[in-house]
Amino acid sequence: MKKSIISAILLLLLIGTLGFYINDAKVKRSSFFKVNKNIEKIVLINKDFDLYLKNTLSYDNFDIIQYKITSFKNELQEINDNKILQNIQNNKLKTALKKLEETIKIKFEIISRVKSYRAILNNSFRIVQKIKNQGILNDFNNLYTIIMTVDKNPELDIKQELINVDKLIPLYENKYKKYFLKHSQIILQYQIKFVALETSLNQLEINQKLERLHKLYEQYSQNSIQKAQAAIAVLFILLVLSIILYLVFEYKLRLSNKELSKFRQTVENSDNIVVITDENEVIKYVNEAFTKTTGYTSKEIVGQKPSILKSGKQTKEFYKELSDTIHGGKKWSGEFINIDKYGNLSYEKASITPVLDDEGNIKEFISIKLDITNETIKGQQLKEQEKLLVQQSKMAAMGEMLENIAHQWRQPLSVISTISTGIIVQKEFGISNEKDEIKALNKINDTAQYLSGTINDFRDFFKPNKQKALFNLKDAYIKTLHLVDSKFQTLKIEVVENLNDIELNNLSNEVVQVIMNLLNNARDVLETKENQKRLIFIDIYKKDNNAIVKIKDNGGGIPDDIIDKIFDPYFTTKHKAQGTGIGLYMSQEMIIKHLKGSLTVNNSTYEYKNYSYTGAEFILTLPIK
Amino acid sequence: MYRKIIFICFITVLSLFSKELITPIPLNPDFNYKKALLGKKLFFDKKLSHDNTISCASCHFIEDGGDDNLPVSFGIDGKTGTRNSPTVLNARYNATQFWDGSAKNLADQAKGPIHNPVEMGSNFEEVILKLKKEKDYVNEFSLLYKNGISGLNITDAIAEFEKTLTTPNSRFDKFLRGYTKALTQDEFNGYKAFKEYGCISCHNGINIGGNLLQKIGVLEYYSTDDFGRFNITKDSNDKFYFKVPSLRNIELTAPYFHDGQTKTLKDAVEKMIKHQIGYLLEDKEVENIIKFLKTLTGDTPKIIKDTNEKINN
Repeated sequence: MKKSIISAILLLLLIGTLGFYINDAKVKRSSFFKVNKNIEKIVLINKDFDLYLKNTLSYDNFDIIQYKITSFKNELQEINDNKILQNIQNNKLKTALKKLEETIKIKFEIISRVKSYRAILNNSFRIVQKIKNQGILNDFNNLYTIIMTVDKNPELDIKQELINVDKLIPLYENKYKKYFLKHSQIILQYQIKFVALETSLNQLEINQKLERLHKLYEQYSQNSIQKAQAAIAVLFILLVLSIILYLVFEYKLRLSNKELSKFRQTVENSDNIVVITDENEVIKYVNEAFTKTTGYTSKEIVGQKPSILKSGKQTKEFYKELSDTIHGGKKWSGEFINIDKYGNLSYEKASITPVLDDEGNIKEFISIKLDITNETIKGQQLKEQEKLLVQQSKMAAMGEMLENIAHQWRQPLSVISTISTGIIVQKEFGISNEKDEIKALNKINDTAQYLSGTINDFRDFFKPNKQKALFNLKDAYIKTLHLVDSKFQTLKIEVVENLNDIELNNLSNEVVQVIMNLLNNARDVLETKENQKRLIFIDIYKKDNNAIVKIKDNGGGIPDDIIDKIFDPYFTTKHKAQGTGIGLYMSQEMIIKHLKGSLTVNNSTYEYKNYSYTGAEFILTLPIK
Repeated sequence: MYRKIIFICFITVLSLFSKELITPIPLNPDFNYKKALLGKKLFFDKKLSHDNTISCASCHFIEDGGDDNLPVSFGIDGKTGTRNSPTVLNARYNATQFWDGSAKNLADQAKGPIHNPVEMGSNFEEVILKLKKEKDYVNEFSLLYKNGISGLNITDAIAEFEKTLTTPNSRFDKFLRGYTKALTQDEFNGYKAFKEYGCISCHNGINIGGNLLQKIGVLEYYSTDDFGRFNITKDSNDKFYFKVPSLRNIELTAPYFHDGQTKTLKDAVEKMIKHQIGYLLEDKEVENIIKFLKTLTGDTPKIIKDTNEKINN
């Protein structure tokens, strides 16, 4: 803005100067023309003077010559009054003019004398003529001739003739003759004066001086006009150049303004909150998103400090670290828990960047924030949901366990019951012997021990171990299978094992839970398959620093349209009473998040003992280190 | 080419004018009316003199030939000068002013009497001081001149008034304008003699004189103590050179010549013939010349009046 004003002013100045120069040149030109005219007039008048001075004897109207003298003086005055010659630097011209002025004064004096002499001569010649016409001048024929040719005869010694005439005068009494001699005397006297005047007039060399003045002046004026024209040309070129520059500048400015306004619009309408403060953290600008999030309008908030938004949920240290970072000239990013105009909490992911000026001082801060309140709340809800899921899956697992326990205990309990009933019957019938009784009691004891061991197994299963520990993957599998073994036997499921010893440093209980989940799933699907062999293949082996547990059944596989969804939460193919759909989801979560491994599934078709089977194949990959 | 044409025009004009050696006075001379009014006031104002006794009009009776008909005029304290006061009438048509031609124009001339100790015996400072005490003067000057009352402005105003003092419509002027019956036969013969004997070689132009400095006593010494122009230039060639006076209204401006010692027109004409022309004229010719000279008297100038004043009165 400033730049464009300055350039506009410069442009105007340039135009003004150009205008001034053009006008000046115009004035100069007309002045030059005027002075030139003055000089030409002077030259003409001077010619008239010369003409007058050479004129033969005749009556003159002196007013005319006086008028010419006045005109000459006026022209000279006009030249002197002309501004062009007043500011003139040309000394030659000045001196030429001055010399002319001095000599012309002398010429005027000479003219004045010529007037007076000529009047006298004129008069005397007429009187001489009159006396001659009276026919009384026979004595003076010679003198008469001399007088009449006095101005045309260069050989004549006028001074000698004058002496002669002076001598003659006292000799004559006749008044006419005396007058004739007196007039002759005057003619001779004034002829001498006249010649002297002519000589001094010639010495003045006015014509040459005028010519010189005229020449000098024409040179000077031409030079000046050329200079003025050159100046105008240069200025004009400058003007054109600056107009072009100005236009280019304007164009660029417009362009950048356009881009800036685009950028501004983007900032204005951005979902991100943009806050700009000065170096003292006083807010200068906020965009619409700010108003949307905080409720404060631009008018209300500009001039305030961003601390108005503090919710008090963040520590003093948090703000101190923020302040130290940005005032140190570094970018800060983090999350704010702020409070809006109406007291609602809002979560904002923010980055604050200090803007430095050319000297490296902080000029302003630009804060860009994203309102993540909704996301934060959703995240919290999700976490809670997950907790719930875990709870649910644990409950389900527990139910399953209880069923397993019940299943496992049924046979030993029946053993105990049978033995104890046998002992009672033998006692009633008196056929008991101590040897048999001890044997029977030992059996009961063994069975009770077995039951107790089973309880320990189940308890271990539910005890979460937070610490990673070394364990044998094969042992963990066997332990798991042992927990579900009784149900497998009931369903006549044949487990085909191919097991290798692999030591893992990981959370063994979680591994056990996942394996149990996968075994249960296999069992569940096989349970629905009547009239066929029920097979489960277990492979435990090592591959590329990973321990692999492969569990494959011959349940027919997972339909293609749901195979991608089986790890989603709440997805189940089972009846509501049987499954909640959280087993596989929880298993995968556990494997990926806690065990840093992976769990994948595919359908596999294979041959076993000359029969071809199809079934789901779960591959559990666990890192060894 | 351009120059040549102008030159030819000039020559033509020159030749046209030179046919008539005497030209009539314009009927309506130009002047600045307001300045002339102020000049008139000054012309009649005795404050221009040191002791408030003399005004311009004291020696220049406008309605009686423009001079005072005395050989030499009286200044302040009865002092007298050495030269006859020339007429103020038609003075604007003189090429130079004063008997010795020492003033180049009317304004320049007006300065002289104010400062001359035997005339008004004052000076500009004194006069300006007196005039500044009068509101009317202060107002009028400030209206007409940028710098108010000043020496130059006082003489400029007086000169402007003197420009109004012309005497057109003399019988001879009417004759010049083509009314041949304006002159009697004798008068016409007088004019012819005036030309024939060379009077006209010095007395020519609009003012029939006033445009030449000439020696008095060319043929015969004219007895006078006054060296004329020599007093100014100190050039021996200028001894006894005086301005050739105008012959207009000559009948009214006696006594004659710079010394004012010639009382009648007849004496004046005869002296001129004797000292300047150097010839013997018949009495009849002299009489005719005098008769001709008397036809040069024009209208008495009307002193301009403030038309506004009239209305107020």
